[in-house]
Amino acid sequence: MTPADLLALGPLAAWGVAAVLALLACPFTSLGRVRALAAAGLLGGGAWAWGQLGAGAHEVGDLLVVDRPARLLWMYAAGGGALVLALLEDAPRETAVLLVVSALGAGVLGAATHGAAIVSSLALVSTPLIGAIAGRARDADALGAAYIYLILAGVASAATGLGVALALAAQGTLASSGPVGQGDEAAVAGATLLVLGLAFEVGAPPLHGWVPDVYRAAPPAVAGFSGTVARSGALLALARRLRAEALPPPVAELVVPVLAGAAVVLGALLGLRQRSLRRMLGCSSIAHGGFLIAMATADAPLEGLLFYLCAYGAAVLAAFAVAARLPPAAGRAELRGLLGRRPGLGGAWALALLSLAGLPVTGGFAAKLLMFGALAHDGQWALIAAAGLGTGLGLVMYARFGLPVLADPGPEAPRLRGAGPWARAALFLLALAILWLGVAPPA
Amino acid sequence: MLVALLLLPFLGGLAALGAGRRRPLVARGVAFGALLLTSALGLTLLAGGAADGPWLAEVDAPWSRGLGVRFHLVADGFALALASLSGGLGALGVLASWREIQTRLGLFHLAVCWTVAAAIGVFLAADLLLFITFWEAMLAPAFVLIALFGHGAAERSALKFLIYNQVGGIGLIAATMALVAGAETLTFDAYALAETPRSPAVQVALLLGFSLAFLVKLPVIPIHGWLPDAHTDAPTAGSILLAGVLLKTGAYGLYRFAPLLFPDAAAALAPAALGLGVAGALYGGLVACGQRDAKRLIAYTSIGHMGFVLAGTFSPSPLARAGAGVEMFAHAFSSSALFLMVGALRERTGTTDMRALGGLQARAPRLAAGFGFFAAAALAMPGTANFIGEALIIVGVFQDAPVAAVLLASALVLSVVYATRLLRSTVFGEGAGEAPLADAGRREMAGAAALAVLVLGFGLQPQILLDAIRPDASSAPVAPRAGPPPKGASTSTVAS
Repeated sequence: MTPADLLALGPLAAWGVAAVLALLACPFTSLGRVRALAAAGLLGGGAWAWGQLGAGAHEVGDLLVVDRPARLLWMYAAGGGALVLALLEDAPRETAVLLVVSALGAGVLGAATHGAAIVSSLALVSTPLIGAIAGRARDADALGAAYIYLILAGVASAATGLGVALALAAQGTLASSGPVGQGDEAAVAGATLLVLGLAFEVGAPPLHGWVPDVYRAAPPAVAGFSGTVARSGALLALARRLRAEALPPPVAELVVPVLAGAAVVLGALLGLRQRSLRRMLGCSSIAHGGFLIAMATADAPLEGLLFYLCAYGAAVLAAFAVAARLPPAAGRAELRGLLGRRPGLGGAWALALLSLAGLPVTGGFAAKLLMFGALAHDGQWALIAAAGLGTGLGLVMYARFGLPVLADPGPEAPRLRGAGPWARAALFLLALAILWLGVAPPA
Repeated sequence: MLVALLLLPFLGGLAALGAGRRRPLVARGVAFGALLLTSALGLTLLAGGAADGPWLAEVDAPWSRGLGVRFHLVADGFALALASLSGGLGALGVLASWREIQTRLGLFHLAVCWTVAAAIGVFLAADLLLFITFWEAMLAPAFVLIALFGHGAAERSALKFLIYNQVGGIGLIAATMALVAGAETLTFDAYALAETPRSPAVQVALLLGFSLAFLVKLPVIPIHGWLPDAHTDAPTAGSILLAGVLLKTGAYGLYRFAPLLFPDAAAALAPAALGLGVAGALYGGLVACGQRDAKRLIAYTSIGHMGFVLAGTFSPSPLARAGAGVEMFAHAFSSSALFLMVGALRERTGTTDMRALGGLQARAPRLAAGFGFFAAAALAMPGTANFIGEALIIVGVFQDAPVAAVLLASALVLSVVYATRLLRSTVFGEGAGEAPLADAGRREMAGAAALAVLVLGFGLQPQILLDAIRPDASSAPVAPRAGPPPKGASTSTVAS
């Protein structure tokens, strides 16, 4: 480690310091203050990364590379994490600390170029999330979701570990610049296992089983975190592997696209039958995980992937900000007439669903065009067909949960939970972001 | 000024939403006024536009430079005429819903106005990304219109509409992106993209994807499944906008962009398009004959008439292309008017089942007269604009494909059958109840009269419409009604 390495990794170090300070503060103060401390640390690190945005790429040994996409990802994780913290209510104070640690893991993962860095940072993302999902652990559903997540995280961790070991055996190195053994079964198996581990964190099949349960039962802000910040690192790591051609061709050209297509179609199909709006958001997350992996496969600048993350993140966090105000098991009936009763909440929900569905004029629409543009540029027609089918089916899922909001309010309205000023401000910002990303997408 | 064409209905919708529940009359009035003004503005631009360039009006501003997207709107006579048509039919829809819609007025008028605004955007956009944006923006308000304000299984029908059109839209998006990826410079401008030469094979592949969205919207069999349900279950205003405006966006997309972007492919695929068009004309007519629900019947006639439009659009004959242009307007007038009539009937009797209707001539003579007139237009009676459109298409198609022309002419026979059936079961015959019905009111009569004037006016003086829309500005001037009808059989049936 040279001083230059430390400087490049400064933003991550700031998050680490913030996590430690926030943890030390936990016994003495309220959730609000712990949140503020954690958010300040995240945003400070994000601002630092912003300041370094113009600096060149810096390689930290074989392990990490701090380049423009990595710094953009850190900014994304800082902003997204801070918004999640603003939405975090009714959770143990330690949850805020756990989320910062998980964001730190995602930050490292996004810069990882080395197999060992991927394995260790993947665990750093998922382990704190187990605790965060369980919340106060009074809620049996949340505890159950945490168990499912724990088990699948263990499987994913084992898969990546074994995958890296196989890759090391086959190729003699774990650096992404290492040669790829053509037709070497061990290399193919190793890379496949590694991809499966990353796909777990993205929420794509075959280890996607945790997503609907976690979305349904975890504290809403934590569920939003798992769909935005937690998956971002794994996506960037996967995209880096693909771009460095560090994955054997059968994996890069078959396994990953099939995984993306399967996620898109499976998520949309599962979403058709959901009654709970949070579970629906989980299915939508699986489908969008597929779109994100599809973007990762496209031979386009990584900024596109980050734009998709931003657009999807704004929509899903806004959706969870609204869901947090409704009963945990809320379905279509609870949404009925929301626009008439609470125009702000109803409007934000409609906007979030429009964006998730990829309709104009929202960030989701711009992201959808960007994705199809990248895929068409690469000529990946099969993936385009799957994505088209997924978007069409997905529309039904969003329409089913979007329409009741516009309908006449029923006679009995469910009680809405109140929200603090930070959560309100965050929802307003998110709605603004959805529109802004749609009207004026940055180049 | 072109921006005003978009802003008027957009802001009108917002104002109506604001007036909403508390002042129902203001909401209706604002929406009606904004849409009528839109139509008038379109006509003013059409009449007074100085055509020193290729366009009557143009707006070009950068939108996102990094992505090569520009806010580029262009308008020729055809686009402006369609924009006025959209505004006018939107206003008609507001009139038609005066009594039908009583709840959530603000949202209803927002949906009507925004559907019109997005459709006008489709007609004007020259930048393909902008075009796609407007294209997709039509979906949400139209969906809300059908799902929330419709009858029967409205939500199911609206979802069907959404899925079909969204999947079709993906074809458009993917092909556009491939088109842009293959161009020399990063641009989405349709007229700049048209300059990049492409091999015929690539063109065919791209055209197939590109036109998927249009063929779904048109619709062409076998991807028409959404239309009968959506038309039947939509509120009257929704049916009017679907038939009069949304179907036209599909036809317009093919008409404007297929020959421009993919000239070789459009020529190569012309026989297939003709086949699909003929199949649609026959299928729509045949199935319409077997319907029991008046709205469903009209919906199937739309498939038939749009089959004519498809056949004319891809025909090499300028005559047939001109006919397709005329038919687009004629169908918009006649089918909207029929939906208006059926909607009025539904308001009074609570049903659109033809077995439960009947005896209108005695019970509501003015409604009966309206039915009679527009049913005649739907069967392309000489003297109506529909006759001009269909006759031009048949004559034009006959030059290259006589068999197809004969088949199209026989579709006209079917139109006589279904139009008579519609009349027999509504205007004539015994009604389920003999109680006199409230006859058409001033609003309904005004709307129907305006459409009747247009149908007759363009039927007797089609040159006005042809001059305005100039369906083929480059080709020789079109002489309507010049050629002899291809088959004595068809004209004699039409006249009978």
